[in-house]
Amino acid sequence: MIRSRCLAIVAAALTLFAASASATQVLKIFVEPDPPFVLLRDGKPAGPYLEALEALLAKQDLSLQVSLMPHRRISAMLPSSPGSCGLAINFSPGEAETLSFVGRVAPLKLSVYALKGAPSVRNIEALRPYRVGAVDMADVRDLLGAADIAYEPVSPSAQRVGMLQRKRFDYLISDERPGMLDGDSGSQVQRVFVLARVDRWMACHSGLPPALLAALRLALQEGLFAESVRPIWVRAGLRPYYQEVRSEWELIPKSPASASGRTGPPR
Amino acid sequence: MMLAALGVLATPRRVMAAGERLRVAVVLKAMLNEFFVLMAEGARAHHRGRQAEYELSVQGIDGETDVAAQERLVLKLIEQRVHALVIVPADSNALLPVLLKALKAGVLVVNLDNKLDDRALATAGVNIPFVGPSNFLGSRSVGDYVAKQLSRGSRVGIVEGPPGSINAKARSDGFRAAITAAGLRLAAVRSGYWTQAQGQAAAGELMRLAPDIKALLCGNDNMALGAVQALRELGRSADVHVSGYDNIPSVRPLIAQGLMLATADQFPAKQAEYALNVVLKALQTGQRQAELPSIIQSPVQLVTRP
Repeated sequence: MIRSRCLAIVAAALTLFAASASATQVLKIFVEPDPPFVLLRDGKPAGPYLEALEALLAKQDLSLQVSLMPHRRISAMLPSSPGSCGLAINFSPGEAETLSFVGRVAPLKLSVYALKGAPSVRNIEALRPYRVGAVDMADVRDLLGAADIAYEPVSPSAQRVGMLQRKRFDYLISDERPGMLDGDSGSQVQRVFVLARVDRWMACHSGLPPALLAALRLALQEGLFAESVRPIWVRAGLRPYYQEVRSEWELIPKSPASASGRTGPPR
Repeated sequence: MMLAALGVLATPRRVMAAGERLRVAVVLKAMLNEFFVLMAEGARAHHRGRQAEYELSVQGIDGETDVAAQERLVLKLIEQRVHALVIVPADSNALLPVLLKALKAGVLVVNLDNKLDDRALATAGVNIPFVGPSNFLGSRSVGDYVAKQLSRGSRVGIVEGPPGSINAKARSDGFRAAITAAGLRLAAVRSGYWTQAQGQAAAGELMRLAPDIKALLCGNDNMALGAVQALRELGRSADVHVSGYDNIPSVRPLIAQGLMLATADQFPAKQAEYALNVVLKALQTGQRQAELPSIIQSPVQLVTRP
């Protein structure tokens, strides 16, 4: 009798725990439109970054409330927006002191581009005498500054290949994007060399509860390219890009042996 | 799985023996730099006010970037079984392996003043709270003030701290933001490795490289002192502005005389106080490393001629 009553109490407690654990928490996400990764579809934020994030966080009982805005506005708003995170943020030492850089979400290959037939350059110093345009990111500013390269900052949303075609620059430093060199305009442009490999991050308001940060870190262990979200990338028509990231990005375990050697959850 | 994510299954804190007192170590760098002298004094002042609660040991290395010496200090503290370690790392990446050893040994670790690199922390999968100011905002305010004295299109140089320090990069980012906003042009960046002698060399090189430079924005006051010396030797003190960062006692007369235009006060004693408060609260309430807040911001303030 006593035993069955105890079992009933335990069952009731477990039910209550399960109910409270399943209460979904809403995370506010700020992200810049960045087709094909983040875009507006039928008037709503969509794209594989958001769909993959939603799927990965659903496992942690987290749902998303997404706002699209330019990166500069995200940088301005995030430090004063409790309960919010910025998605696909470039790492910046200045912002790292005020935002929690929680985890990598995607790789970024920074490359030097030029019109076909441009003079051959093999390293960053060789760019010094030329007109250089570069995406405005802390990593790029630091690399070019250290090499004494003067450059014109280019907005991440600008039509970068078009700028090269209009001969606004001799060389362009940009992240590689799917389809960038496709089509009539892209076919006139070539990648000259890969300058650096960096990452895009999820960065959150510094007051986010540690337990929530830990859950986010766990969800993002393979960025937005976990095996479980493959169908999302395939549906977006980005299967080759997804596969390339899976095979090249250091965050993705390459074999069972390397997977077992990976670091566990945050201590 | 969720429990692991919450840090519940993480490395346990070292269990205290009955009657054992909390032992906290503060490890600094550049112990001869006035900024860290003030920080050490702040830590000792905090301890004087709360002596009954913990024992404090303040140690440090003489150099700014002597990673090996700082590693040895940390290893010794692990052997001595301190309960918590507050550290100003000499390098934002290179110190992480020894700090991971400290965490594994059950030592609570808090990062002070120079932030550990989030990229390395994420790779290691650890949470080490940062206590310190926004160097970006501090240097931005210094840069904005200097920019007001210059005409649009003027060229300026940056004397930066060591490449391995996140706060050095953050300060340069703040200077760059001010330069862009004011329509100035960045001539070049040279590292002065936080020291007066190397700051002087970096300033001299910048002036040779771009003699039309109108201001040298320096990542700390020691390098600014070097820049003032370099300009004096070049006979350019009158037409090139210098700014620093830290508001150490040595630069205050220079600011009063107008030989330096501005600096930023980061209140080093307060930084130490904030970090020790975080540590004591965690030790006294049983908070685990993963449960600590990731960033605890301390104040920073622009300082100019009164």
